[in-house]
Amino acid sequence: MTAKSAGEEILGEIKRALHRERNSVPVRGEAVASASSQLEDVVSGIRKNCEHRRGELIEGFESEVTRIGGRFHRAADADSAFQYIEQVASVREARTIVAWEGQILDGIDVPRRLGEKGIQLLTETTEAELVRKSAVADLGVSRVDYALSDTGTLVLLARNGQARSISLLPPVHIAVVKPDQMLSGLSDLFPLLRHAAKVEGRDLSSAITFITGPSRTADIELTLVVGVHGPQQLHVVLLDC
Amino acid sequence: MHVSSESFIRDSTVAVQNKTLQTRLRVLNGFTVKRNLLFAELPDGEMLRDRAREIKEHTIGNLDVYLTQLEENVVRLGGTVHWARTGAEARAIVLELARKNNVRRVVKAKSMVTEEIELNEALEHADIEAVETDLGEYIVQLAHEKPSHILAPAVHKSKGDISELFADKLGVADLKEAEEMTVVARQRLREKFLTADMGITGANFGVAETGTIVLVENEGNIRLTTTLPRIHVALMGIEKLVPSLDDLAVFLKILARSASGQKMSSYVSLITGARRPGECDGAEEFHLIILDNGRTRILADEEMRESLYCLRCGACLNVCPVYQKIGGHAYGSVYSGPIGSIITPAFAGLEKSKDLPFASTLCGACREICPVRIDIPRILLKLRSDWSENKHGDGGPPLVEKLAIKLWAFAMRHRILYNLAFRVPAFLQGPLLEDGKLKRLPFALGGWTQNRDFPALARRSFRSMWDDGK
Repeated sequence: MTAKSAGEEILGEIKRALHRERNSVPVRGEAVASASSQLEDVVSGIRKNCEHRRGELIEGFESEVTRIGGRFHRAADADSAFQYIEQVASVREARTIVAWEGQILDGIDVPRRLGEKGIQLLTETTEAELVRKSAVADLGVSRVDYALSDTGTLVLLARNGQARSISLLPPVHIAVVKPDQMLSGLSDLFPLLRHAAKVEGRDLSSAITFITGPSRTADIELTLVVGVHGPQQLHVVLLDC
Repeated sequence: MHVSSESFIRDSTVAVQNKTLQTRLRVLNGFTVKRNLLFAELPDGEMLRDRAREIKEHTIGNLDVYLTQLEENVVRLGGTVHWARTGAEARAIVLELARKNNVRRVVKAKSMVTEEIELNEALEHADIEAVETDLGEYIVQLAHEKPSHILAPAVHKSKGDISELFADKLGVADLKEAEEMTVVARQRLREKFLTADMGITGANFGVAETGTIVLVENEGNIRLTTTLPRIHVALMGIEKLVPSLDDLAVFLKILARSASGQKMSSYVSLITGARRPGECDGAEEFHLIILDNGRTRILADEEMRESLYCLRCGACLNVCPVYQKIGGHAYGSVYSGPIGSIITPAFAGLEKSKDLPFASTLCGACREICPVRIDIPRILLKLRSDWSENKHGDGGPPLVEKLAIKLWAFAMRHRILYNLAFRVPAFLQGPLLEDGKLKRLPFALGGWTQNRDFPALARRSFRSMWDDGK
């Protein structure tokens, strides 16, 4: 018996159970915004709406991030954002960081400037090293791809240069968010993801991670403890310029 | 699926007398309070629940099409799809993958399906270390126990119990606070993550349109399980599908709210195939095992079908007056509480679990709280009726009980007989009354009062007072 025959058998059982004669295409009551012209309209509608409501969305985002135990810092420019990162590093007595590739803050080479303060960027040349170094680093610094206002959620897409371990293994994660990444919630996110994949002619990213506050557990007497497997601290820096 | 529900009466009787257990279980009310607050402030909360149910109805009603679509997408993305008719087949697939890749250590995310098919035992039997990494599951595994709640597997254990356990099994003594214990577990498990060859997870959802597996958690252990080991194996029941990402949005809005009283869990991972060229972490191989294990049988039974809509959020456990008194273990099944009382008989057979459908007051709290509005009380009644009609050939109720019910039905249809049937015992009950209640009924009726008191029969029936009133 091959694996395929098990699949055919299960699908056959399902058809019998549902009294289905043949593969019929499911008909759904509501319109699905997958036709490209429609999707285009939906996406431009979402973008406009988010831009129009940006101030309100950022306020909501800040209050949610704070409510769930994240720290929020609004930086007027890249220098002020860098100062905040430096301050977090100093309070944590951080000696090493790992970071996403490319510019974290426009016009500021974050790793080099931190290097001047004695904090070493652990760069990796191989994939095995990436995990090993992220596991010993004191800080992980990343950008985000989107932010969701109504739940205080960061959305990170895994791709070349945007390793998953950096927001996961170090005890502190600092994420830099730009105002134009702010969406109202999940209902905005999924059409944008679908649209981006379509425009670029590729599939969804191999891993899309939603991060909402620090890692937490309540498995011992339902007592909240943060930092069980992932970062204990989550800092969100909004680069407001 | 292995069950020990035959001893439900005995096990629940012991649990009911366990006051410490009930103190532990009381904390679960916190989930319900937060859940209710969040739903109250969600403007379209009730509509979202209706929508979620519609999506489930639609998906389950076209399951063959969506499963085929999911398979095509996963394969197109370079993943491998395996189909398993039974738990044994699923275990064999995992063991074969482990053998082929020389896997010595597996890290596991919490997954009801792997509990259902008893995967850990199979791995250990094959000399492969299988480490549960969810903190609650880790505690339960160290204690060689079974999880007692879908969401909070170690809810039956106190801080003191866990402190002793860590001293005994991990050699770290005198841990007082939950924080300290968590730090120890983090260190121990981090070593395991960094050296594991395979990560095994369940799947909260499979998205047919994109070939995506969705995993919802708070701790980060699932992210580690899918990010660090070379191979990721996800096990998913056939019913876990949603057609599209837009459908997923509906479920993500209600799942965390229902499960833990959060707007969104700390982490949600959408895994679409293995890592792509140029990426530095994430599993290099992705395997999806799609499991039937009795689910198509449930699908074929139209009265039972909606039990496949379950999201495994655990909300019905938290509100159930029976679960609150006896906890999860007494049910003798990985699926406990109200939802367990309907799916355990469906998976394992009513003959092995006939007491579970009766372990309910039919108060309806489970139906009220269920995010997809599964009518659990209706299904409980159906299962009771199946048993009493001996539909499954497992004996049904004792002859005396059947006779008594027949007599009752006959009397109900004959007014004079009915009046007499109550008036006579009302006069005769005197010697049997203790504190105004019937605590020990005689003869064959004794079973009724074994676990509960029977209220004393009134001297005069409502009917006769009503007649006088006229």
